[in-house]
Amino acid sequence: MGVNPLEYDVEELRELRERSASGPGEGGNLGVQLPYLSHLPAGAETQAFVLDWLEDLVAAAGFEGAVAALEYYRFMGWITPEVRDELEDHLLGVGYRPGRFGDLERAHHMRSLARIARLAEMADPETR
Amino acid sequence: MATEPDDVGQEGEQDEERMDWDRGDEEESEESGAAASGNAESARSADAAAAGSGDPSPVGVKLGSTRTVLVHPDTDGEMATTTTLTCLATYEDAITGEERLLYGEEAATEYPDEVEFMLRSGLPEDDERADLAGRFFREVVTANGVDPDSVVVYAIPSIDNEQGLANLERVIDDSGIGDRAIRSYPESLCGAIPAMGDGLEAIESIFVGVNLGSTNLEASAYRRGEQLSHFATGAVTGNEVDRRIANLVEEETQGRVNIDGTTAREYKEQHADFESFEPFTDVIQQPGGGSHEFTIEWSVMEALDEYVDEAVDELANTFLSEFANDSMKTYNLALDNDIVLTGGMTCIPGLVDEFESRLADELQRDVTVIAPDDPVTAAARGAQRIADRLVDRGAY
Repeated sequence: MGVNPLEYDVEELRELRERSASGPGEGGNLGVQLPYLSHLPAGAETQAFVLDWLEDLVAAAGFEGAVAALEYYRFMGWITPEVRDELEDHLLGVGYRPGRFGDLERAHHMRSLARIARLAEMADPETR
Repeated sequence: MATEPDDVGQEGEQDEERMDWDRGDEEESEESGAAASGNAESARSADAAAAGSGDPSPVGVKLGSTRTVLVHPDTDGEMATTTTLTCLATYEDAITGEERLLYGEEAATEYPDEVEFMLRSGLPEDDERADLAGRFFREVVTANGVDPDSVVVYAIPSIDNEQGLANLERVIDDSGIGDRAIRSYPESLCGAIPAMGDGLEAIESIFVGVNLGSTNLEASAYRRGEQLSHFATGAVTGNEVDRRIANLVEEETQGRVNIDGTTAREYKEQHADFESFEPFTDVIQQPGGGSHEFTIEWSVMEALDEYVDEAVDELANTFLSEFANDSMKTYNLALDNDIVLTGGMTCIPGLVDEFESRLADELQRDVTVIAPDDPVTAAARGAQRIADRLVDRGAY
């Protein structure tokens, strides 16, 4: 590794932060390995499914609330940082709307978790 | 701080063993530079402390064009912060005839005409300056007993200068510290870390960081540690403010007073204040004898006023407009969060609020601008936090 500060390893840096945050659970007694969703499956069906989900989040909590929600799901260990980043990129395809994370209720998060589980199943149907 | 040139030479002979950036645990530390420089006791204590815990020392460094800052565990394991001017002067020992070396404030004060600020453009431009920077940095780490068995993170200005970076790499390689691992990150990112929390919260944030340095203005947008957009210019700098102050002082005193860059920098650092500037007096010795007392009323603040206008203009109309073009939503998100100012110019009282007010006017929207406590040391403290996490994680 050279000294060029523009060539630093982003993933290594993020891992340092992940370690420093009060960590997500280990799956408790559910016997499920976190994170639930480690990559987004490909395909038009998935794309439409993801956009539906994100549109619902933006409708409920605005763009910034949706970004915060994705980070919350990452923090909870439901999705990996990579999936969060990919979902944030998809968010750019959803119209901007003001709002905040606090507008989301428990039911929204439950629905998000169900959608994450569905995406995980689509990503890896053999093991789910 | 003086040392004998032979000592520096001995350290230089360790070069071949220090070329790898990541060094395995099995590599043995060579003789500490501190031992060669007469600080053997502190260096051995630091080594012993590290050996006792088994972990390398986490060290943060900012090798700045004006000041160098080291943050490292001292012999008691407490975090020590050392700030020194990045300059070097050599002189001949009147008794032994040997060349001796001074660095930092001592060199600038005692040898103002000979002192060399070898990183004036931000990076060592040529072999000669790289050699001087290498001697300077070895002296600093030696005098402060920095543990060679260390993980060192450098906060470096993001300047697109291949030769300068290669020269800096040589300086870092030859420093005698960072035996376990060396990393470098943009100064604007490292400086934002202490501004945004007690840990590495900056790496989980979307924000714009602006480094107002002596040799460049650097702005970057970060999303969870990733640099999304970057801008740097050498046209709006702290050094340019110093030059402008020198010119304006000459104008204000109707040509009776000429000051050098060091004096102009001191005027800026000691008197510039956007909140409550007070005119001040100084005295110069006349060439023909006698002295001349003069009062500075507007030169310093006029130079600063122009600087803030130019910095805001570059940020708003060059960097942020390009950033908005690239991604309007991320741009809005970043500007809804705090903009973090770092770098030495941020130390000037009231500058952050002034910057915020003028930037809000220019962008025609509310923005919040913050700066870390003690901006001079912020980048090194942020770098040290990263080093600390690298040690925790065993990433060496």
